[in-house]
Amino acid sequence: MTERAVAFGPRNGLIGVLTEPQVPAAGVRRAVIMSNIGMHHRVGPFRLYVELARRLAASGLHVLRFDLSGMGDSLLRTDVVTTAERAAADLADAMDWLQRECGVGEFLLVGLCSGVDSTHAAAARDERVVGAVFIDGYSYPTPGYRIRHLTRRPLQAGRWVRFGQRLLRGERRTARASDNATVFARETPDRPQFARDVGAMTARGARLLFIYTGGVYHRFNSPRQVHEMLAGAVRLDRIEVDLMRDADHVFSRTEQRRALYDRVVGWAASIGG
Amino acid sequence: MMIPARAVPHTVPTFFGSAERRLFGLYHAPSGDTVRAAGVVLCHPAPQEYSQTYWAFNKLAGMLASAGFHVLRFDYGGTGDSSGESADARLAQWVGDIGTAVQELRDLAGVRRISLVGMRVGAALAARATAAGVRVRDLVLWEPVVSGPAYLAELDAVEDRRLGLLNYPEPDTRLDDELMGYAFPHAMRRETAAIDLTTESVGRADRLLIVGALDVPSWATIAARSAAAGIAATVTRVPDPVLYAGVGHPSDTILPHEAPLAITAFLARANA
Repeated sequence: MTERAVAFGPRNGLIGVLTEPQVPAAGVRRAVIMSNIGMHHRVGPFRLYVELARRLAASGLHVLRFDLSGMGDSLLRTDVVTTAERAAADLADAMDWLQRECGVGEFLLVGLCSGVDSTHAAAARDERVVGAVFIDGYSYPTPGYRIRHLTRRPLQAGRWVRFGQRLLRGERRTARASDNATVFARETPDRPQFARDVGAMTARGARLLFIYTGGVYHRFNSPRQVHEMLAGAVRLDRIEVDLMRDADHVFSRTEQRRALYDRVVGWAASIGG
Repeated sequence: MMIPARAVPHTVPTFFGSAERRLFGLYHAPSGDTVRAAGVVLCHPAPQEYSQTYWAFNKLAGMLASAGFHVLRFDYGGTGDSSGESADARLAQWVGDIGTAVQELRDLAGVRRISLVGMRVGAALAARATAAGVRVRDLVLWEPVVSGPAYLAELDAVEDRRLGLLNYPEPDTRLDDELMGYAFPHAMRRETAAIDLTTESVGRADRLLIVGALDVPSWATIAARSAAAGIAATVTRVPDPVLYAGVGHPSDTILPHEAPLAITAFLARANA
């Protein structure tokens, strides 16, 4: 495994790290691309993307981690307007660069939380994307979700204990304004658009892995929810769904991160290419 | 190799160091009308505060480059984009990495005069690097961690509060070899607990600036000891929001403004 610091795109303003296998897997024509998670730069929370990239490279894939324009260390581009357009343009630049640099023509994208916005936008627009991993991505309430939520939530004893402890300490779990909120806003598709986009991705043959953690259990509570959200609009044989109940939203434990790496590396190997 | 100031883009990412210990850095070329024959190496906090403060470092690097400095910020081994595993990182190695970064900036920009800016634990490490023989013009300690035990108590409190706020998934018991999401082996805890800038050698520099929003009486103690050793020492309090460990939320991004201004002004005056 080797790593190179790279700059590409408009004015060489997109900054990243390319992790390459010592020996590329035989016949591999694919590379993996990861970009920002929330306000984190390309390293990801707890070095999650660094470690995942190295694991994927060890399996024979080229991996590019880079900062979208205006994030992390990358320059802000001015040739597009919306966040989705910017992300799609940045990822297109990344794919163009990898095609020239590594001779690969197909791409797997990985996104977590708000990183799903750029991953989804690019996967919906660019046919070179043959696979995508959406971690704690979009979720929409379905009748099944509501029934599960209402019947399970009161039975979680720990919630009531911690609620009592917070009351005693005078703490409240309210959303707080922070610097993040002033510079960071998301544009997300509504449910029909989500279903159309995913339908189009699978129709052209893309393979998708949806992973949800216990950290978003308040909005996603069963692997069945993805199928409910899509309402039969997609090729289900091209979709895999996992619920990692023991992991929190940013995989803040080493053990959780290792489980995620195993899942993503295994999935990437299983879809060939 | 000397790099002409206007022949490079805003930042140049690079790996440097030995084949066994490759460090990731970002070189910021002077971008203003003034090009100084001086460089500044920025030393990040420890991993637990690294992501929170990354934007602040980017901002400070840009301000220093605009003021005409050659700037290098970098990741210690086992952190950020650099090689190595988090669990293998040790403070003594990070001190060595600072020396490697100083030499890299000298080689990259062709300047001899280098200053160090360290934040939180990075400030303690920068001071140790100068004490270990890394020769610098100015040493800037930004919100320095003065007492290892007090700093660890802050981080432990943040960790407890974070787990107390978790509802999904059900929070687990704390692990004794991880802290705020990062591997934190017992050896690293022992090394961190040993930090005491009130008794350690402040190191060697022509000038010392201690800057921050916190009200820490021991900063004056450090400045007095430095002055007694012949170092021109200044303590500057700035009205930035205090969001560091024990005060803010571990996922907050900190965007201070006054401290970067004060640091840039101090270094510009000192390297006129």
